[in-house]
Amino acid sequence: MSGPQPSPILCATLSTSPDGKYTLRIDLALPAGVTVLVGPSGSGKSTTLDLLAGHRWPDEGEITLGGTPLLRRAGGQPPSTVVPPEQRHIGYVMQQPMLFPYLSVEQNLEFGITNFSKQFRKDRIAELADQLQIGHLLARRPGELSGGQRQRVALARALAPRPKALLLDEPLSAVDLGQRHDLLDRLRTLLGDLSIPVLYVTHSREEQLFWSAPTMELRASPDQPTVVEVARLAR
Amino acid sequence: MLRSPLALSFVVATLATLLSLAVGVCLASLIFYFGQLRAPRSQRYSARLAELADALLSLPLVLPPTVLGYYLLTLLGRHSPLGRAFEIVTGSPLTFTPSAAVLAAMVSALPAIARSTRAALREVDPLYFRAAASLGHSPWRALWSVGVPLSQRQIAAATMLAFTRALGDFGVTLMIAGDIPGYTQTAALAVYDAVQSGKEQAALTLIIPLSSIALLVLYVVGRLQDSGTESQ
Repeated sequence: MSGPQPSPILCATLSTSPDGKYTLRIDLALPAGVTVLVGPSGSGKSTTLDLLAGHRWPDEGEITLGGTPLLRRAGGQPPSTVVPPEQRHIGYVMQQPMLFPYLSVEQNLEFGITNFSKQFRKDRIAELADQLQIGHLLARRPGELSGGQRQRVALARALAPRPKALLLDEPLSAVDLGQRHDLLDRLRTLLGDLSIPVLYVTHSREEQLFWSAPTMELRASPDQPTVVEVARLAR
Repeated sequence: MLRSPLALSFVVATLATLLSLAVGVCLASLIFYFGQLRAPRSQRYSARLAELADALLSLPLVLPPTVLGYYLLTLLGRHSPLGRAFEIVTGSPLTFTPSAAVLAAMVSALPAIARSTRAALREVDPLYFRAAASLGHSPWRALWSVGVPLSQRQIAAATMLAFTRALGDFGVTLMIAGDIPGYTQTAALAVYDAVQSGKEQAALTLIIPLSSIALLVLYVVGRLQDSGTESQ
């Protein structure tokens, strides 16, 4: 048996019916480190991340981060507590990097830390550029980057404000096969050093095995076929 | 004072376009903010209000210029409260002055810029706003840090088209600024007067530059839109 379980930091107990056809039930307690979430297309993986990030409200449930409630909603009632997405301190890397095309890579990295001092911004960008090997790209525009480079920049941009949790929604889906292994290796080194919960969503069996991390799966409930819920997979 | 109708038209159209750009982008941003960005967080009435404001803003595009002129005369004429207030503050009336010509030109330029800006904002991929939110930008801040910069090409094209509309305004200018040669007579009004009095040569000296500018603007706008499509 392994040692004591690390204490969870990001907790969510939610229920929602995104299109009225099925119910998504989420029960997550994520400690620091990477947790992988898998599930077939359309099972609600992206919806789960949107709920945690605050872009959607569940029909009912609760989300806490480090003990602080981010959302509380009783069924049929308006939420009693809602922290908007911009105040949740949750980094979110989407399937598409969504880099701002009118800004340079450096300005993209600076986007989430404009409230900090100039020195802090400079040091933070240099640190992330070094960790993700993007120093030579800082002056370029996103349109001049490859898929893998864009995703590295998106990851650096999400990490720049030092988020308290990180959501990665199939971050390698827009990356060429040849660049995936290199990026996965970098991710493992980088995310392994973070002491925050990281939820890594993928439908790739290869990526799931690569992480050898606690893995959850979104799948239909054995009792109720119209309910999709989170199940812990054996490692 | 500008005695040349063409020079007056340029000054009036430039001022009207700049004012319309500032006011139009702000209005469109407000409508988009309450109609789209804030709508999921707030009561439905804010989205309804945004729809009403959008309809009001579009009204000048469908109403006859004489009707618009009548409204403005009623609202800003010397006997109206607003007209009297303007006269007390500035010492001169608003109607039948070059300022009224600027206002008349804005009536056509403002809705064009505001509507194009709102349409451009609605075309921005919502995922950009989500990315901005996850980086700590509130919807209002993201509107200016992400929405407007991503719409800049469409806003630039709309501004150029609005300039040509402002340059060629006839009906509303006639109603609220009048056709006073050397004072409020813009190029469009001078062309009408010249043709009515059989001075075809005088009309042509105005028609050719006005047409050339319109053609040039349409060409540049087309190039802007083409380069926008290519870069996507």
